[in-house]
Amino acid sequence: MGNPNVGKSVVFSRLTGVRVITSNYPGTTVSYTRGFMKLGEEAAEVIDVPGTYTLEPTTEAEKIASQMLDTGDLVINVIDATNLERNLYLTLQLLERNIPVVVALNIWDDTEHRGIHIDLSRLQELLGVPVIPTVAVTGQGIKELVSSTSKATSPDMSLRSRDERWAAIGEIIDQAQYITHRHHTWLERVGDASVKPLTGAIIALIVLAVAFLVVRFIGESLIGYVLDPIFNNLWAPVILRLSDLLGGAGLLHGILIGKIIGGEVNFVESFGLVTTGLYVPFAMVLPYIISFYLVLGLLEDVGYLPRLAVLMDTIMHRLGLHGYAIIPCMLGLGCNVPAILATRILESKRERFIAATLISIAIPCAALQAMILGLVGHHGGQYVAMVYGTLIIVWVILGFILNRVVRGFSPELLIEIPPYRLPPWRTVLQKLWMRVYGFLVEAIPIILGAVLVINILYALGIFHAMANFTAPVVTGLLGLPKEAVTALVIGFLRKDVALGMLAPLALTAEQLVIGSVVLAMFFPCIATFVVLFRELGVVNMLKSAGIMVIAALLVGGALNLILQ
Amino acid sequence: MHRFMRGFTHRFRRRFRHRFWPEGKQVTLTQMPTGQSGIVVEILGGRMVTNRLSSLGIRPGLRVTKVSSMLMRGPVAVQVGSVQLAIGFGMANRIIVELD
Repeated sequence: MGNPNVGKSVVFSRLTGVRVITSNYPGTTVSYTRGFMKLGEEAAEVIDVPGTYTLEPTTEAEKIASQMLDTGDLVINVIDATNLERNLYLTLQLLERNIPVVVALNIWDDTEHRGIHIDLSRLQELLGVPVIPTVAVTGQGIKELVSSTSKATSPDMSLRSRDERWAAIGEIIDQAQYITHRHHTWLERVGDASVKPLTGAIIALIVLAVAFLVVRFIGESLIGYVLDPIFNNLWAPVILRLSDLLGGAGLLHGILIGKIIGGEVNFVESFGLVTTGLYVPFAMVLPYIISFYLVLGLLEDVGYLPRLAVLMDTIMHRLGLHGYAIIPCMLGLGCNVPAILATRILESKRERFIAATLISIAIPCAALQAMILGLVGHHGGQYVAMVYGTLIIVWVILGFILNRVVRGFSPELLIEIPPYRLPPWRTVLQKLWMRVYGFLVEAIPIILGAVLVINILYALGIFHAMANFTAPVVTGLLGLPKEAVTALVIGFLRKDVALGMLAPLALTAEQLVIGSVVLAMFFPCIATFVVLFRELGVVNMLKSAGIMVIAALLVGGALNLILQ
Repeated sequence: MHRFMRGFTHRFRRRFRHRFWPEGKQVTLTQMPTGQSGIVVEILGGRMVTNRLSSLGIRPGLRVTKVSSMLMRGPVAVQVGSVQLAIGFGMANRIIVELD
């Protein structure tokens, strides 16, 4: 346990070998993770919990932390050595509970150049429990931490009031720490500049623009120079051979390979399992997953996101949220599932409802964005801009409305701004791999399943019946061909595949814009749906879903009127 | 001095300090100029607010330095010891600081 952003998850990874997502902002961990470490001959269970400043929780994530405390036999209290005074408050609270504690004095390597000197033996004596200096990022001190758990004690400390605790901390600090003056580093100067109104806005614009360009550049390069050549030059001949073997037609041919027109494989439109079913996840979505999470991981680890939260606070208040809600929104650009989980860092139920609804309506995930860039971008950048522009407008207007309508209060922003850190490449790449691996094992089976379902439903004629039934809405209101309804239905499984289904319909650029926007807004994919249900409860989830359907139809209809 | 009297003078001083010691000017965190330092003297607010602020490191007696403030009633960024905090406008407005 420990304060937010002291490196608990990094320590946990080091102890157990279980990889968890770590970043440089308070509130990265919002639920608990279990793992095992070797303790002599035995395996001991270790639990990573969200950070908390006190044992009187204010957010959902902090609540989880204080609940987990009652289940443990021993607490490893991770504290930030560069910020001893504030961190000791939780330590004292832990010591007052009759539970053995060891203290990991983390970020130890940073104390010296910050001019902080800590007398370890004195601190250990005053606290009455083992204190081990650690640098979790490099693994320093972890062994000592493990062996010290056998010496963990629970000193006899009676419950105290808040003021008594601060007084006790004051005494400890006086005796065990002294601080020498030192000059500002350039990182701190940049840090200060990025929370000032003018320089901050300029830095934010530059950071976001560079981030977008880098994501596109890496994504497009991967597609153009690596994956397209692989599919076109290596995989296509194999497919054609297979097609011949299957006799060029029939049910199995239709499911595996799909339509082959003029002796050439069209990976986007043929819709077979081994053609489109592989091309969409690997050659259209994966490159953008890699590039997006690389850039997001860098922003997270450097510590930029909380500063963006400060800059955005005034705007976010108009949407019924405070600035910190920008972090779940940024995560949502990758995948809505972790984004909705991340709303646990917000304090009130009202905020969580608004944030979760806004994310699932107006924030397209990386997979969908990759398809938008691939399909809509084909017709020109202005159409892509139209899709994003519409979604941003929807995000603002809907937030504005929800702020007026949803009852309850939204508290003020109160966050810690972590110092900028230059993350080691190893940790950035490790995190990237975890996320890419997560996409590969979770998304690809669903994508293949979706393509299979599509083919079976086509063969059974169900889509045809459905298309006729919903034609008034799809054609009349949205101005799309009636077959487009199949995409909206499949959107429930995977939105990337769903958008891919619009490809063979020969839509105009305007129709593609409408289709993309409606798909992004219409209904969350099944994974998001489940998380919404778990996090908000049935009633609020249904409310949220209702808002989505209505908003999607309204916006789609409006776009149809404007564009066509 | 009697313990009761000491408590009384303490409260009296806090309330009327600006009349008798005008050089220690007291302002809210939002009024404080950027770059200026001061000592937190009081947090006007309920237990919830004081608890949250104190757990993050803002409590009476500590020195804070204002790093920046956003336009249009935006949050205030302050430095307390080695920590930087961002505090929403409404909350910052309730933190009384005595300027150095």
